[in-house]
Amino acid sequence: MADLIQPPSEPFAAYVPSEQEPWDVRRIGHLMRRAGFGLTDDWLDSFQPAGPEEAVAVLTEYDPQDDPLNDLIEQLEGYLVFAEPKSVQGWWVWRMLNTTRPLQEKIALFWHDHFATSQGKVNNVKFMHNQIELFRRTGLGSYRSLANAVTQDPAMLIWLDGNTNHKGAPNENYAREIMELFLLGIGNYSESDVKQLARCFTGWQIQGEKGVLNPGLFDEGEKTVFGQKGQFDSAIGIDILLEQPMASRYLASCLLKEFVHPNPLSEHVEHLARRIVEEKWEIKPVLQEILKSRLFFSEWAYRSKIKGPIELCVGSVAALGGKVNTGFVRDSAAKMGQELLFPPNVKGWDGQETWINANTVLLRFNYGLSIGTQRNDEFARPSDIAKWIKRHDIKTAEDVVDQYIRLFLDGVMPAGFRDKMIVYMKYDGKEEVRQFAITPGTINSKVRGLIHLTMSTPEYQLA
Amino acid sequence: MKSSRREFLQVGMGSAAAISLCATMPAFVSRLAFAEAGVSSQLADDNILVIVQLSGGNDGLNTVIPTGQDLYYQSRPNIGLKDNLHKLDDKHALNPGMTAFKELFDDGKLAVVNGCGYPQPNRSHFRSMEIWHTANPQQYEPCGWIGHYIDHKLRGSDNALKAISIGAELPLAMVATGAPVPSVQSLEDFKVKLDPNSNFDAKMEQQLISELNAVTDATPAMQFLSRQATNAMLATQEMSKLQSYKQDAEYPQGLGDQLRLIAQLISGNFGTRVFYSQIGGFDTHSNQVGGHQGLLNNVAQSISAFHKDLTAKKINDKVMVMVFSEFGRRVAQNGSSGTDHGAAGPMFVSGGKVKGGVYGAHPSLTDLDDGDLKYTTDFRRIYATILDKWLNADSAVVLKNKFEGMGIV
Repeated sequence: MADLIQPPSEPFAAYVPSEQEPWDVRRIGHLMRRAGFGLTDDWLDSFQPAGPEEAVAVLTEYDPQDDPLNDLIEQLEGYLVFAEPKSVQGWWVWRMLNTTRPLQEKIALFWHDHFATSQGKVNNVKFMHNQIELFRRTGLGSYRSLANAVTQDPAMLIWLDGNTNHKGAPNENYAREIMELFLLGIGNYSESDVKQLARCFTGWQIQGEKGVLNPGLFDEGEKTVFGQKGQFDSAIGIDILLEQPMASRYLASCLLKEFVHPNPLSEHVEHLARRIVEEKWEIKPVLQEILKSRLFFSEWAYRSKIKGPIELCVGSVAALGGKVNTGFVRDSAAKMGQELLFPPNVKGWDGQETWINANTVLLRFNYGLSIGTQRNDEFARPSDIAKWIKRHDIKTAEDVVDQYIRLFLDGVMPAGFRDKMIVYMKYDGKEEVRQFAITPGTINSKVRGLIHLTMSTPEYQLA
Repeated sequence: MKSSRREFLQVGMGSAAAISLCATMPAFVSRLAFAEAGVSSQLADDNILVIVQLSGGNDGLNTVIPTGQDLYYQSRPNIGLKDNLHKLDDKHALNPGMTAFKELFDDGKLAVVNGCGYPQPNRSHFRSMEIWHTANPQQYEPCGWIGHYIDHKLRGSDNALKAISIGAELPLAMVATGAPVPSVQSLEDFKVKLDPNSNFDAKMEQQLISELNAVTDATPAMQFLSRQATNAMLATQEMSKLQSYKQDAEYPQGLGDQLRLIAQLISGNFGTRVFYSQIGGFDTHSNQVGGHQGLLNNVAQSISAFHKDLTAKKINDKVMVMVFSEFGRRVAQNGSSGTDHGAAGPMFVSGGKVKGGVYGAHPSLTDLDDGDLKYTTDFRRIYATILDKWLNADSAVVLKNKFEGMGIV
């Protein structure tokens, strides 16, 4: 067995580039996979001279109200319609592919998984779209506000039956899941807390596209939640949940699992939980600390996660460019187990190892073949590949291989991989090794084949 | 009923949690764990088990209705079922949607097991599902009960298709310490596709993909990924031998599509011993009556079509179907004409060799545990029966405990 890699000392001190730990494609690639959907040549060119501090600032400091793509989407008349989920799924894939703020989409995807709500039951595309917009708009804001907004969110009111939770006729669904899956984690509450908290959440109704409190349906009586007695409403109910020591630990653990490592150490969780309370549940400063940390850029975190289907499908297409068929990206990710707007259940996608089985491994490899060799205008257009070859001044088989390993795999592959790929580039079905030259023929076969092969490695499945 | 993939994904439990430990545990550990487990039986070693998981917590009281009990109707004034029930005996009737199950029951091919559950029931979908998948209510386990069966009984087999899960994910129940069980979503996608542009490139690409995924002792994540990929490629080689298949029954959409694929794979004669399928949507917290009936209708019709298809192919006697859900629901309806999470619920077992009938006592509607039914049959008794009497395994080894068998087979 390989030596187990240990987390670094002073895990939450800021990472400072050094000779041993340089600010290079490996660390920029890591940052872009975790805080976005992967590396592109443009991000690499922009972040390499910027350094980690500025790179994290670029990714996190944006004004969600002022969105450069908004006008463009409005111009794409008819692109976004609310008659069917496919349109909103495609709209979101398009944003992920074209955004200049990958973290805005990534954090929205994180909350979509955390507060997992499915169109399968909500059956209202507009409400689903509004919920995703809520996550895009406030994803780096106050967690307390977000929890309150989600509690009143029409899609959530349908999904977990909040809209049928009335005085005298409680429905426990939302109360149970907000504790088990959203704010506290399983085992940190009693069955009585479920019943009492359900009463705090009574009375929320959908009016138009908003959740509003109907005082006639609200149970104003005294409740006992976590030993506290009072005529609590939903906001106080959420305050009481966030007062529980488990709440900040639970959020800390979820953030660390998403951005750093699938199995965070308890001291990491404790530190971050403390910081969450100090920052009054504001997500942005906490996430900035994570993304700048020695822990984040450590060997321990590197390639410790398995890419989700959306990360894989969006990331590879973004790296290659092309006119892009968002429907194909969306459907491919769905087949691999991640259909946007349709998380499998209220727990969201289990992620990590559960992404991978025989079926999904084959789909991932075959996806690499599709986007590499689909030979029409959608992915990796001849013009895109030609531009890429020119940009990197590619002349030899070695050049092609090195550039693809760099773009797709941070240049980090085991010994032997590069040589194998170079042999592949030069092989023409006969015994002797041929001289490789960039021609329309080799671009169409070998350069495209290399995309398929680099995406068919275990390393490429890692985030 | 019209059922789509959406409904499966809706509230359905997907796969279960962390499987890394199990999937990367060295093979010798499993050999040690199950070494010399004595198995001696006259059973043929080609019986097949098909598991159907109802995800979301099926409302057992509206599936097998305790007829003639006023308390049932008092607890469920809006959702208690009275009309068009399918009578099983003086005390039990099936949901109106389950006509096809009534026929199976009358044929003596359907066992209905009342009140299945386990001590100290957990009302979380996810924890309770894990308990059913691992057959261990006490603590979390990285491998499933079918995984244990594979490690124990099929440990010598290098058949890449000894068990198959249908769907996009692999359920915890099927996680073994040995070679990973393949999941198959569609036959069209279950292959390594290659560039049609040139033959020699395609050939070399195939060779390279195998080499790039060769199992190494790199990090646990790399080991896990390369093992999955290597086994997937072995499974596709087997699967490519699949002959044409003609269905001899009309399957409904939804669960029916999965069971038809299973029938096709059984016809392929790969020696697969266990198949897994799932249908979601059972988390019926509001206005449940119509939707719930539709789901049960789909389940009953799909399973019935499956048996008809297999009967026409003269292999129905080799196949058993087991239906379960992670929990039942509260006795009393909630304020939304639905039901919240509860405890014990019924299981179904069907097949050519199954001894039909109603098994186990229906849980009392008066002696409740915090508003929930108390279980009368530990679900592990059904597992034990299937392992001992159908799969020719030693249930005491697989389940790490001895459970009393039942007469269902």
